[in-house]
Amino acid sequence: MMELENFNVVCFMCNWAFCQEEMQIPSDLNIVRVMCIGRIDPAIILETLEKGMDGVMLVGCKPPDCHFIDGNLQAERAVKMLRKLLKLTGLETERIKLLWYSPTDEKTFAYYAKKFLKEIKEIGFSPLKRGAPKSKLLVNVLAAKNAASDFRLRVLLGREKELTEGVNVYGEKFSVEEFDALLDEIVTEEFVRHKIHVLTKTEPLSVKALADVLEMKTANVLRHIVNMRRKNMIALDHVEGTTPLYKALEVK
Amino acid sequence: MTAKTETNVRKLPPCRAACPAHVNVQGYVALIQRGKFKEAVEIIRRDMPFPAICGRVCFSPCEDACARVNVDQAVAIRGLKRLVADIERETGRIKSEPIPKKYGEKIAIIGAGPAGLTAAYELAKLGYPVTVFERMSETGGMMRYCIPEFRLEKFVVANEIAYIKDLGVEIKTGVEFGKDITIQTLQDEGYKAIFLAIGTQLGMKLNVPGEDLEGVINAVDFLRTVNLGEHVEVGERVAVVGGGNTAMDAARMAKKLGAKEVTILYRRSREEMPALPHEVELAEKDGIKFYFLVAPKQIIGENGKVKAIECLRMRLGEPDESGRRRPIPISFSEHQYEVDMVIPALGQVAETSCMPKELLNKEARAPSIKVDPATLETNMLGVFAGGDIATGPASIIEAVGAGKRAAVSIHRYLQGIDLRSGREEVEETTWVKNWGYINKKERRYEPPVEKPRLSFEETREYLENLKQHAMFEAFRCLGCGPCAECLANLELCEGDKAVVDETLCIGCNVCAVVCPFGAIKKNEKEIAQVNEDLCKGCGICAARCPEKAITMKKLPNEKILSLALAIVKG
Amino acid sequence: MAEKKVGAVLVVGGGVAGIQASLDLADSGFKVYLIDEGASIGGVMAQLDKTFPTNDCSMCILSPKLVATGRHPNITILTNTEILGLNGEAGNFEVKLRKRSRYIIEEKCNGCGLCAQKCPIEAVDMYNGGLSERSAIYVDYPQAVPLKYKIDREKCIGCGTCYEICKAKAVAYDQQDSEATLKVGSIILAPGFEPFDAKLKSEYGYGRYPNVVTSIEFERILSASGPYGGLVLRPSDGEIPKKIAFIQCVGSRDYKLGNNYCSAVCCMYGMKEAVIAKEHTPTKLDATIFYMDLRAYGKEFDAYYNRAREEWGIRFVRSRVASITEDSSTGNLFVHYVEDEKPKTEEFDMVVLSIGMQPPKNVEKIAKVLGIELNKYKFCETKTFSPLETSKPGVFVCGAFSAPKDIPESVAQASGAAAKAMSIIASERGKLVAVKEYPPERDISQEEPRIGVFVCHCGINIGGVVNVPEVVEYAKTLPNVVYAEANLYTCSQDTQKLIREKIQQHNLNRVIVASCTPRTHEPLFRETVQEAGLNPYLFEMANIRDQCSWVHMHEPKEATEKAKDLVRSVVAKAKLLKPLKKPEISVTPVGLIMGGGVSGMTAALELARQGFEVHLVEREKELGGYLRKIYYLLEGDNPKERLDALIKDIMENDKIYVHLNAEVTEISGFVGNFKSKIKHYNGKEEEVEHGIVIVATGATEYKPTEYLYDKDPRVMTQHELEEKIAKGDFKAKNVIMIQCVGARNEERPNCARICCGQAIKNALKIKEIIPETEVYVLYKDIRSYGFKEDYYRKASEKGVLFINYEDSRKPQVRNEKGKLEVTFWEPVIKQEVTIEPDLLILSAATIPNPDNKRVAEMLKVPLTKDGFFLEAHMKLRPVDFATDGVFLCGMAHSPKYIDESIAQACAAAARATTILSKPALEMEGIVANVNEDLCSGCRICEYLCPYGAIEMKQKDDRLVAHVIEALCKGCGACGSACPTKAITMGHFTTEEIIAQVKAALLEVKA
Repeated sequence: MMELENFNVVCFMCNWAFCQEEMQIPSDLNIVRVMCIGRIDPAIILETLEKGMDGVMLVGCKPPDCHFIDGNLQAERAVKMLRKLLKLTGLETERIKLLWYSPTDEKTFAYYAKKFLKEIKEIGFSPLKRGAPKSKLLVNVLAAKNAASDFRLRVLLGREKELTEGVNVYGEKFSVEEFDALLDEIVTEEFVRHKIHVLTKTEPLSVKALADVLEMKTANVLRHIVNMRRKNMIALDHVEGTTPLYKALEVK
Repeated sequence: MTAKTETNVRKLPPCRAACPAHVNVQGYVALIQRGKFKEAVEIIRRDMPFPAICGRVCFSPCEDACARVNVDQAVAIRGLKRLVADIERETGRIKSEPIPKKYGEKIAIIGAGPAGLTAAYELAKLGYPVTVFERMSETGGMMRYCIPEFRLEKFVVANEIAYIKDLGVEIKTGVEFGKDITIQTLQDEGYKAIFLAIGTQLGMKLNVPGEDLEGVINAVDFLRTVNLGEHVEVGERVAVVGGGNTAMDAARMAKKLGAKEVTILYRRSREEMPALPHEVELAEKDGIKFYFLVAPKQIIGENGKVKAIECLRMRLGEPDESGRRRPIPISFSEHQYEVDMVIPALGQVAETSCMPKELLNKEARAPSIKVDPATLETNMLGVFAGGDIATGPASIIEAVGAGKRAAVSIHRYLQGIDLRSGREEVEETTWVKNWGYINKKERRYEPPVEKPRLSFEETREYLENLKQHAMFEAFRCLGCGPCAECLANLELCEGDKAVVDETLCIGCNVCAVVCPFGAIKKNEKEIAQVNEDLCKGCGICAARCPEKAITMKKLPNEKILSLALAIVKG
Repeated sequence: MAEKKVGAVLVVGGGVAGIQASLDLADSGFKVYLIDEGASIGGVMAQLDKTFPTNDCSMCILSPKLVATGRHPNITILTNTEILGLNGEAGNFEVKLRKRSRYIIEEKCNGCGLCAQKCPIEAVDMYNGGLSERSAIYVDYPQAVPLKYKIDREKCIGCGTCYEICKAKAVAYDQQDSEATLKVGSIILAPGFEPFDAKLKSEYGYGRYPNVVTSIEFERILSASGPYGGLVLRPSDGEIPKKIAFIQCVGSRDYKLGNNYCSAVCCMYGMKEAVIAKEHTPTKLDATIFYMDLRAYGKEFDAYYNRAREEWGIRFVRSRVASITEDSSTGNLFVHYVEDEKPKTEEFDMVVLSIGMQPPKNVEKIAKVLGIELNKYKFCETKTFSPLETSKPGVFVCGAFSAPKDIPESVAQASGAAAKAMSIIASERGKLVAVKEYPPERDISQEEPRIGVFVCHCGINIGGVVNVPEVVEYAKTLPNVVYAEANLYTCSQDTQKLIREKIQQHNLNRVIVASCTPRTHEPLFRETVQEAGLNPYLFEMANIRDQCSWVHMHEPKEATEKAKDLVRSVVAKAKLLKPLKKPEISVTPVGLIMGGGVSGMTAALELARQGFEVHLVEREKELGGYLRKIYYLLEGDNPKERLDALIKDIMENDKIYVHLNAEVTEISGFVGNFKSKIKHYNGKEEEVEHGIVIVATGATEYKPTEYLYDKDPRVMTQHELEEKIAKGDFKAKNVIMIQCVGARNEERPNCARICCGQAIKNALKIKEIIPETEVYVLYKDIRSYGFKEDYYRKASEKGVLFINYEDSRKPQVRNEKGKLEVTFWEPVIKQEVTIEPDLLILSAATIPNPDNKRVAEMLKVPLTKDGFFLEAHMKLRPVDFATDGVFLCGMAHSPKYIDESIAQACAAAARATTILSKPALEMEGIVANVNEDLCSGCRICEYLCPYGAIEMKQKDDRLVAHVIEALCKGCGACGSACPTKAITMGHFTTEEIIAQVKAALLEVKA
């Protein structure tokens, strides 16, 4: 029964951000220590969500006191991208929280942990929780996970700091807003493409069928399919009447 | 010297390398981060026995070396050290058990100052029967007798020495070397090795007329007398001559003892003063007046008592061998200060009258014992010397370093091991070679001590109230060394390392860009290569690698995932 | 003309015309600088799917030329380059160029494509007509030459990823634009055209309705390498359309837009696209073409038109479409048009706009820099008798820049322009070209095979799928393999050096490269082994990219195994490889031209200007041919004066031997070494030796049998009318002209091309002489292509009445009691009309010379069904015959206007020069060999050889086959058929092939 189940919240915690032994944390909270919160691959977070995690908290040091200079800011960038992806999936973006914590904080870590747990409880159980039926949402989260695992988003994320804080290879300045706009666009593109990929993995689908699921214009779906063919993500499976159907290819 | 080989070079983080005693700064700071204050003290004690003392009065070369300055400001290491030592003392020091004697060779140590006590401490830990002979009634040497209470409390010194005693070190006070005992008598008594660490006790004289007048008292004597608890008549108007830390201590002490006006006369300018700037600031705060570029010509007396001090004005010439500009008297610039007390504080010299002549260094300007700087051997077999007696007046931590070196030499001497071969050399290392790479930032939070060098009155309260802040301050440590070597025993501390799958890497260089430590570079195959010496295992590269070609040895993605999902599956 | 001349030519524009001109120049001993503003050469042709009328794959036929251009030692390709300035004069120009940065060091980039694969930024792919995306670092298409990537600076965010992953270290973000100055003797302009911007024709909704596409976009939609993989899809929803409309004349013949000219190619490509679309569509597809006049005027074009209609069922609607609207719910389109005076609306799934040609974008700048004149449409101004010359001496033009035209005409013009460009610097031939020298060849006859195998990663093209190190290790285990290694790029410069070193080091005597295709790379590697002192035929390739990593992209394990199989089989073959000699044949630097019309004369003059002797053989007693019958021209030049000048030039040229009243009766020999008999009508016969033949035998006018011709004196042909007018005999109040007499009928399905122009010319002349004379032109389609459209419009304005008739309702001509009556259907008023003209003019077709059959047999060259000569390739070799050393031009090829004949004549001269300019021709070494002892003299081989390369010779007392190496193409047809196995093929011996097959099938025990 759903009511009897516990809330599952994972807290990825920087090894250096918080070390008090006697943490008064709720039992629903599972702490996973990592060397730096910048260590957390966005794909990992999406995978935990996909597997039914109700909430994911990332705890890092307050800037500028990261042990690894700016690992906390790297995490912030990842979370920013994750939120963009999550928004597209329809899963509540509030299920991810990035907390910058330091021992000088007036509140204890337990305070924040409880607060986050409370917030998650207010949102409710993850719809992807164990036993929940396979849903559109699962497809979305899978697509988001695959997008986050794909070279394109990863390389942009990896270069964000260089581009926004320094200058690009031509010596030009790139504002955070410009980068954000670019990322918005590319995150959406990649999400849609990977969603198409996930959807066509099980059965060949037409542009129209995909457009219905994606709630997109057919013309845009076709453009994505053209692009995915270029990248060997999808191939024409067969034609039914005047309707071509496409099937996903295994991505290396 | 033996040729430097890779094996006996010990690479240490800059703080530890800079410390003459090579105290494991990174280790205890890491423990402080985790609130393990007691364990932190243990770590300090591995390298030296005076955490509380050094936490108060060390000139902290570690902080000068701290790599954090490249980001914002040095970690307040000394403050942290004092904090943990004080916490330990207040919560009750665990009484150390005497260490079983492993060796039979008796060792005599002359002088219970920092050098002697450290040597005794180290040798006792090795399992030798050690006896320390001290001329004075109380142990601690300069720590006990020269540094005023307001900088270093007596009970702190006593506590740290008690720790050494608890280990089984025998301390005999009131035994004067050269009178009660000599090298010969000690050897006759069966002491196989002797370490001379008698320090420098004699205050240097002004060498001007009137120095014999009543009211002229050398700073060392002045402070020692006060520290002995004896009454000292302090004048209303006091002149302290000199610019070192002792001058500051003497001046502040005179003020605290009731002098209305205390003036420091220094022959050079403020910049050349050897006292730590912070000590000078504290002296100024206490209302001490400073007159620079003045040198005493004579002390004028009246009725055998000091009435005034006549000085010459000076100007600065070319730098001398100490690198400071040499003061040159200006003719006919004589002037007088009305004082009733003059405290010369020009430094100390060793009292060598008790020493066998053959030990003395004839070439040195000041009287001292001639030693091999690396092994601290003297001209006499089985006799070692170190600390101020060998080097001239220096710091506590340098004396501790000397004591440690002496202990190693004595141990080797007694065990018939070559004194020099394979002796470790220390090289500083830090993970970031090019600091220009990292943007400088403003320090966001205040350290537990406002500045690394506060007077203890200020620090104490501050630290007592701010353990959390201390922990936080400890977080600022960048962990330059490859592993903290602390007692925290956290799995992660053992240093995770990034591993590149060469078949997946396409050389996009994102890892190198995100690596905070410059630990990843592309090799000749244009494939990412991890320099494990520099890799701190943060894993940011693994999180960012667009081809997922980088994994962490200890904490790969799969492990993180399985840890995270453990609750969901369960 | 400059005194000091330069033996180099600048060719501006890397489309098919520029490429052809460059190849002809370079093959004739001149240094060529081929510049293009784009990143690669190929032009619009590289975007096309198929080409009309043969439906050849465009890229397939273009790509060998691209490769040849890219590899030619005498051609320097400068991409991203534009002209900044020009100094000097014909023969010695100084050209200032600006090369725009591509942010890639071209010398280092080896086109592996990893950068594009990993670039995170996407941009609209204009090569695919904007229907897909590409990366911000890109090549236009995979076969691009040079295959050098380029950064789209507008789109690039400068993340640096490409720089980091480029193993060749070719990315240079700080690369600046650079300027350079070149010295050239002449300049050829071939900047091509700009497709019309269909948005300007807003009533058709392009840009607003996704299912309205341009013909260029549709080419990409059709292409297998295009966005939809060759399946025709609607951009709006990816559905396969059931009904497509093609709208012709979008941006052409549009007075309002200022583009009154006809774009000359759209009717044909529109039909072609409709045909191919039907071919590419698995379901039934209805294609409708909305047109004004269907202008299938080229060689064999009407036959194509007929097939399109009859075989493919394409519907043709003669109507100018008024507008297009969209059903926004379905994306379907309503085409609004008027037919039979009634407004109609028809629903289509998709609409293709056949967009016209416009002058290149920056044409005014080019014109200003070079000092050339443009016509009113801003195309390059040329004259009828100098169609390849701009207004600036030494600067020549070809291709669509002088007028809209199709590929074969562009190619012909390109060769022609090359001839023109060469002729002014003929004295400098061979002075600036590089001659490559090789070390003496090592004798390996006594050596055991020692094979070296070089396996290419090709970046990740191969290495990403095939486990290359494993293949290398495997190769080492194969018998006779003494060395094997892997290379990142085996084709890179430094690897060539390495291969040479390894040959020396390991004393290799066979070299195998396992990489991409021999089609593009074999010549490079052969050259490399030759540089190392090995015979070039001791090299062999295993194609582990196209045949392995590409097709088995998703089965890396299996692909690796297959790569091993391929390597093993090639090793087995390589063991047996033998050195081959490349036969050399001498060249007689003399030309023979059959036909003394304007084409023959032009060709003769061009060859003579190149410094070669020419025999010009004319049947008639005087030179001039068809041109003699032309008295005036549409464009206004005086043909008589020009003819006289031409004849004078010929007669005065001491390199040209004119044989009048004579014909060639016998030709023997082969390229470089022909022998011909010229028989004069006075009985005298002489024999000449020559290296090439140009067929310029012209055509003749059809003598009509219909419409009372020859039965009524008032009925005459256009030529007869022209003569009448010229003589001042013309007097008439009513003139009717009937078009397509003797053409576009069952007997001769094809259009005679020039009659529409003739009719308009004569009609205008009549209106000029007697403006009140009524002129009716009864036509099927008015085919006034190109700028002739202007005259069509002018004639209409002058009151010439053009009345369309259909084959089903041909005009009726009667002699009604002495009155000449012409009855025809008037489609506007929809009734029969009868008119009594004073003169009835028949636009009689131009038909092949009846002598063609004899000439064709003599030369062993083919004719078309119609009886014109058939060139080697309709698209890309318009003046060559399949037989080497024989060329054609002028009306012998097909009916054409004077300027077109002149251009072709120059082209034939240029093509001939590529042979005549060489002291000797080096032939391919892979030829057939006859073992005379085994030969039974059965003549099967002689019969089978498609090139006539086998002749029978008497040896001792029997007949044996003999291979003429100069003619042999090495196809092996003879060898496989020889009953006594007397013929073996060099480099492809039966033993070699069997060894290769055996090894491919069986795992050899090492």
